[in-house]
Amino acid sequence: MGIFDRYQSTDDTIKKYLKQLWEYQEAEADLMVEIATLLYEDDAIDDAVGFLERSVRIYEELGLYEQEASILDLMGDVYLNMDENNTALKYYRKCHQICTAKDLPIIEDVFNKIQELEEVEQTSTKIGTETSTSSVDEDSYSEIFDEGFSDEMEKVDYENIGSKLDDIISLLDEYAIYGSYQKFDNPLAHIKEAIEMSRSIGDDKGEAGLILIMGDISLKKEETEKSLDYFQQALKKFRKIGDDKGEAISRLMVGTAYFLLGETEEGSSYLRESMEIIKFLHDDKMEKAAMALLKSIYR
Amino acid sequence: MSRLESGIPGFDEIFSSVSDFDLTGFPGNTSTLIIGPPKVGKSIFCYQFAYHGLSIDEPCLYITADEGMKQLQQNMIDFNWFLQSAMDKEMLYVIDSISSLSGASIETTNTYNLSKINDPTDLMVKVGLGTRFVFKKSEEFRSVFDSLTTPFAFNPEPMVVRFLKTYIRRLKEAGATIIFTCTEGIVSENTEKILKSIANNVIMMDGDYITFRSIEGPIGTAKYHITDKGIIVDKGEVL
Repeated sequence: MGIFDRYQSTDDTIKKYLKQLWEYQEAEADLMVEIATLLYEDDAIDDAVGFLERSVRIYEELGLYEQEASILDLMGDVYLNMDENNTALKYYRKCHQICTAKDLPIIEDVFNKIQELEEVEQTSTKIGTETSTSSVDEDSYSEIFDEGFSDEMEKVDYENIGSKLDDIISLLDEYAIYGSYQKFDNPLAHIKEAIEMSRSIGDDKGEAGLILIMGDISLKKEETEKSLDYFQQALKKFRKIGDDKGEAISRLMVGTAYFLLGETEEGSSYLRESMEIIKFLHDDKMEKAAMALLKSIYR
Repeated sequence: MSRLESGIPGFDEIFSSVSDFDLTGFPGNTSTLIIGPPKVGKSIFCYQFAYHGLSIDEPCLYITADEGMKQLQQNMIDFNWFLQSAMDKEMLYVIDSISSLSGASIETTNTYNLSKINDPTDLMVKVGLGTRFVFKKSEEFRSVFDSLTTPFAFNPEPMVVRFLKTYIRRLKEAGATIIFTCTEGIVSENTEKILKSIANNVIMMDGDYITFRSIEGPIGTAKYHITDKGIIVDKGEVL
């Protein structure tokens, strides 16, 4: 019996435990993918993505490249289904990098997806430019309304409208603070938590601002019906507390959502009401931002 | 009920003498309001309470609402209490809800977050982040809110009261021992009554005497002094 036999046996035990730990972690990641699949089927997309993100991190840590690449590819598909092409592209590219480095069989499939998406992006940029050059340049919003909505809905530049809405929502007093929550991991969960907080405190203004931001996020995901619901809730709150600026911004949001849903008359009515309030507020910054939005909607 | 050391010489002994328990010290997992006129040592009580906890490895969530982070550190340095090492060890998480009012761009860190005094929802969100951070260090920790005077100046009184209730509930659920301060006479009589009823313990400081009512009921009082080592409490009596 050697003096170091005891250490030899400790070493073996540690190895055994590490192997076990490794297996548990792999099983944990596999389970997360299973949960994500169920959540996705249940339309809980954000939660599903959250689980997929966590599983990717575990696979990466364990050096399970094939699984990591396959989940990144899957996440690309999820975002593609939500029409978030840029994010989808980001995941496909990450996946492609791993496939190239590790010579994984899905490389060709992923490469094709990247190519297709890049083509789509180039086309939409072109359409965006055309829309922008044909939009109205006059300062009077009445003239813009008189021009009428675009007849061809497929030519609507969602990205452009989204950025105009960002400009408007950033004028909200609360945005400087609440907008920063979007930088957190899982921003929606944080914003939802903040809404609960604002309700428990009775901070109506804070709640209205947060709901508006939720609507903006939903609209960016092209969940237009959902976003309309949020915007309406925010509008109701801002009206309740007599916040004109909040009301004007909410009306712009509601109007835009109606427009995107094809309910142009309803949308027009909200946009007009909003412009009336903005005119009354004498807020140049807001007027400019609102005009820019109208120009992207009407032409 | 667990007990912890307040770090204020003489205080724990008197606090224990008014309680029904044999244990010595500050009652753990409770909330304590410190109230009194300006410049009587309420903030010094907070510094001392937080610093002593840190010195015995009890983490702390510190919300500073009257003074910015730099001023807080400076005030504590006056007593030779240095915070940097606690922050480096991630034992102290500070929420500074006043500095951003100046509009200056201030960087946040892992253990230093900003909020706005006129935005209680954001403050509560940051409290949530801070609580989770500190809770990871220990299931028993201290939390200081110094003071409610500024939130009351910027927000409707009922909203601050609701904020406080939520803050206390969440922090107590997480295992914290909470102290919060308020300047006497800055809120309506009714709100002051509510504040006193929300807290498990009330400490009143008037510049000469520190008087307190513990969760268990009886009232104790003692003379106190502010020295270069912080607050020192003399032998007191139960009223």
